[in-house]
Amino acid sequence: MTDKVFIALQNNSEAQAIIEAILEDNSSAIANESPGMVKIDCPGRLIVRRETVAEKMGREFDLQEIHINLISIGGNIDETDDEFVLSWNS
Amino acid sequence: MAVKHLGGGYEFKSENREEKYGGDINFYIQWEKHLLYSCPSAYRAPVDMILRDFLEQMFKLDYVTHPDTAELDIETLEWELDQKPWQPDLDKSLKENGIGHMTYLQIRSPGLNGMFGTGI
Amino acid sequence: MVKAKRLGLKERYSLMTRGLDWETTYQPMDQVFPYDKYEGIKILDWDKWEDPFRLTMESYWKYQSEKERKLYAILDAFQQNNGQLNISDARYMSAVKLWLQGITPLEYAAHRGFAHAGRAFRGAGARVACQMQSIDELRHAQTQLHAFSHYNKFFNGMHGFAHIRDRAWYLSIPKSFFEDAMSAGPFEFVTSISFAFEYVLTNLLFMPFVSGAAYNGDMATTTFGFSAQSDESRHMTLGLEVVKFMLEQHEDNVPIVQAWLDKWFWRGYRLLGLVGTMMDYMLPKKVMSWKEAWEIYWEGNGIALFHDLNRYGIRLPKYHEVATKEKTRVTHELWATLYQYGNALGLHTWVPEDEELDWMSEKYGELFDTMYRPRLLFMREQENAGKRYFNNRLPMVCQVCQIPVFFTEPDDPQKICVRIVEWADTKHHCCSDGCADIFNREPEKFVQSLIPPQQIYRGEAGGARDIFEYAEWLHLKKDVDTGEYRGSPDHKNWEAWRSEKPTPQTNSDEAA
Repeated sequence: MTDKVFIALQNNSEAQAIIEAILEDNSSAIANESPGMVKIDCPGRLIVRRETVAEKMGREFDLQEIHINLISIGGNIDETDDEFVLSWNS
Repeated sequence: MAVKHLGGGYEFKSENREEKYGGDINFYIQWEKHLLYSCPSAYRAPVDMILRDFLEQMFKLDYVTHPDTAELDIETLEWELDQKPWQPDLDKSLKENGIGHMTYLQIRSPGLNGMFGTGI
Repeated sequence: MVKAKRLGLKERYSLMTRGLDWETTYQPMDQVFPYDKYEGIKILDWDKWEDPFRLTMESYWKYQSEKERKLYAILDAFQQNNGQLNISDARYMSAVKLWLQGITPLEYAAHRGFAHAGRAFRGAGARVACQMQSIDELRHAQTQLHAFSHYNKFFNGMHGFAHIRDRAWYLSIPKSFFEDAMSAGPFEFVTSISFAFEYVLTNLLFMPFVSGAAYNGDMATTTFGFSAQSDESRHMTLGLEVVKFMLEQHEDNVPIVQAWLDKWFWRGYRLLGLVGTMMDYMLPKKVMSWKEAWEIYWEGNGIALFHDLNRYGIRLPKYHEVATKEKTRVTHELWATLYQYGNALGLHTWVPEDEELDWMSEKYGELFDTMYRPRLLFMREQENAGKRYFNNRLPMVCQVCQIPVFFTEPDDPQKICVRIVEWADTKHHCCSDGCADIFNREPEKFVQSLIPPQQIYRGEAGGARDIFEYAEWLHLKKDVDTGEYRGSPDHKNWEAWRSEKPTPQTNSDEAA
């Protein structure tokens, strides 16, 4: 079994666009909602693409804006201007 | 292993050493299978206190809520001292019985095994 | 202003964190940074340090100020709209009180600890990360105090959090945890707090518990909780980074790091028992049981993390299987302990309602139904007969985690687990093999622990001779701040406010 990475975001309207983008870009990702937050689990690797988020928001999006609504993560991070990737190497 | 440290020695006396008790001792007792009381109880008492007096005048009062306490026969208790089987003389003092500072006593009461069949 | 061509994230981060420091010449580097070698950690190249978020100071201020603006707008709205009346039940306030008394001081301690660690590391990347975290932690302490100050106008037991932090038996648990970390070297400190505690374990606090706060209508805690957690993901990343950095720098670091992970996993797990109890017992509306949270965040996510570290030769922390065995018991054992020693608590305890007991039966199954449910029902009978059960005899306390020794043997839930350890002719007691190992690794450190019941018996707690005088020394008023919830002023006020009165009186002891 591949270990899962995860990202958790606050459940508000701004984060909704990020959540939608993640689910679109990661076909194996599963969103689990609980009060106030959404936790997205994905086997092995999960990517957040700046372009997809910007498209969903209908405005420019700086990937570091993710910090405002981010709750938690599990996985090694690799971040550039265009992509925020979580992965396990094992 | 020892603490890694900078500079000279790293030596400290135990914070709870006996000399701070002015002749008394700090010791502990736990009644097995009576988990209404979640933890072993801690006591401070004079070393020449008679063990029977401790049980009748301190211990039993503390455990009064448990229905088994009213039926407790202290003569038939099975004892452990620091987790080894042990038999005290109830009419001797704590000290004469070998109960010292930081001793841990456990008692079992045959026939009284707590409530609900699960040692509560 | 002409907009210059924007550099890429990696270049920006590199420019902001590299080449800012220098090799000292007036004094040798080892004198300027005396603390980053004695733990035995070997660092060959500090420039290999990477902050995966690549957050520059400029961006840090920008995003932090935005978080603060959002947070304070919500706190204002919360206060102006009598937000305290929207919580599910006043019993919920026990969780808030425990947070204020136990967790908020840890945030401040973390602020101090990271300021110190930041000064201690000679690598600039590590220093910048510690600096940001130090500022974050101060922010967390402040925002929590601001948020809770509104509740303090309406509920008892919140008036002296700083006073009781240094005195109360149940607060010596979190306090001693942090002071153990802060009195270690900088690498152990960062491993303990950023990795073992924040990466591996705080998800259990900030995710299910804060989500529970949201479910129980506590807008204030939800808001600062998630706002703090957004910083926490940066801290967790720092934790993982520092561990990987040490492991990659030198193979001699591996056993040292493993020993720290063993120690701090166990200490963090013990501390989190309090959080589990908040989730299972203090949230009137339940979101997730401690057992479920443990399965998701440790057995799933935590173990995945250790699988990832396996390539460096790191194994799962010692006694993780004991922690997993305890998942069906620990919150029930701890709640019963808080309940019976309630005369010296700055929060209320109670027997849960029938629907809550049914929820626990469903989540915890047979063990709950045969041991803990009957015990709770016995307590309820006693209370209904006018003999609310308290245990006023001081307990044995673990020399390491400072939790009263209530945990049971890993394979026998009916037998209390006690481990006797000895150093320099004095015996001490631990609650578990995990804590006994920690003691035996650094006995000279842990013989110094100030254990509250022993402190009382030695006459060093304001001369208090029993639990009631001790509570006075904590500035806790009997049956107002302490004791049973049912019939307390908090309970009576809540009933009065919820019945019809639109404007509550502030902080009165008696219901109007």
